[in-house]
Amino acid sequence: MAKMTSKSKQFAVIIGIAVFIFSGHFIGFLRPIENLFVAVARPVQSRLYGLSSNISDLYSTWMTRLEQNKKVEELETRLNQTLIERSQLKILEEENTFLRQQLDFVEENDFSLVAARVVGLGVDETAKDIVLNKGRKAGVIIGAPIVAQDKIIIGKVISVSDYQSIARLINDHNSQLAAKILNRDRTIGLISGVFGLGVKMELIPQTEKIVTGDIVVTSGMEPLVPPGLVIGTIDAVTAGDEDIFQEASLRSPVNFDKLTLVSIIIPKNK
Amino acid sequence: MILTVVKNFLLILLVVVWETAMRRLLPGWLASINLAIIFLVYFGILKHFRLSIIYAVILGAFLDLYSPIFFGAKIISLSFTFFIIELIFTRLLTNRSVYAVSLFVVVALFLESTISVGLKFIYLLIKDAQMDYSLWGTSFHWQYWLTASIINIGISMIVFLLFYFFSNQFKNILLQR
Repeated sequence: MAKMTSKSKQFAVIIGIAVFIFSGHFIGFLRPIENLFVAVARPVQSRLYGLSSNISDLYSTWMTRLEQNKKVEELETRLNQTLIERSQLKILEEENTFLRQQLDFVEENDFSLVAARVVGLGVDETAKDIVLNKGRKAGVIIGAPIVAQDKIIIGKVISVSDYQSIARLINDHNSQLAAKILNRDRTIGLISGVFGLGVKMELIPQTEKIVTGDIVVTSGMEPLVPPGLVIGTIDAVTAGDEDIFQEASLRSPVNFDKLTLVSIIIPKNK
Repeated sequence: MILTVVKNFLLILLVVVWETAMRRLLPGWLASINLAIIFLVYFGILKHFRLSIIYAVILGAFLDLYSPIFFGAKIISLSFTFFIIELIFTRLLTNRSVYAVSLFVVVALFLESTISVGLKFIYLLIKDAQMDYSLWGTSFHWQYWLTASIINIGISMIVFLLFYFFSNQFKNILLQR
């Protein structure tokens, strides 16, 4: 009997802790602890993310090398040898280009850009999410688009805390983005992901003529997403005779597995 | 006391950093290593599974800071997993053998994954009125499960051997005639 009471007490303590954490998070009195943890974890995450990325690169290079011919192998080996010597210079060069692109973009639009570093991936294994080191304090809001390189949209913010945010990539199965094709008819459609394996465009009427190589951009129909951000190019079109809509798979110019530096687009009049 | 708190905090930090910054970026089978489950299983075996539930709640809370589903998803999935293990499986697996550790790890992996996917399914159903059955298909592919089970059993065996050789936690008893 005494043992039963002890067990019940222990479960009551567990439930108590859980209730305390839940209420603390949603009321907000645990926010300083959460922010402190995020601040402590961020530098470690950032370094280990880079390390994992390098390990991943090494692995994929090794796998590719098995399939490539001798000439490509020699070129890659030479590239790897010079990579270490040029790494510092390259990082500076990339950051410089990135900031220049940001400046150009801001001058052209009613949006401002916040540069963010990818510090990790979301813990949901079935999703393609990235963790960014900028949050509410930097002006990030839910729904804000994420761009990489030269105006290429890669996802949207789905969750924001004070000092970090989580963005869902456009190749995630549950992501959706209004888009248009830069063809003669300016065909509109809906972009969604294919389980992290690729990106497709749906709801394209059968009457619209689209061809491989057509460029797909954001349509501007979503309030926070400016028009004209590049999504990719049409790779293949599938259309059944009895289907109402056509579907197209897209080739993205960005490698979603190697994102390190991105920008978050925020409306200026927010 | 302070040393224990610091030690446990560092362990939790290690698990969170592994889960968010490393695991899913790593190639091939390395991405299947679930340190959260292995950490909690060992905690349960070495201390008590009820303590594992408490740690599951705390670890889940920190992991939930990086969860796109909703705050509490990881708390629920991890704590319920170890609640079920404490309720049922501690009566089936009663010794501190490498076989028991392996089975605990596989059972915990399966339970945690099932609860996580179930929660996401319900979340999408409520939020987007969308019944995404594909979640079950991608998460429970037999090949993924086979790989994940083998890899995590392998890692838990390495941890077992480390404990065996460098601590007094798993002392062998030879039955002599």
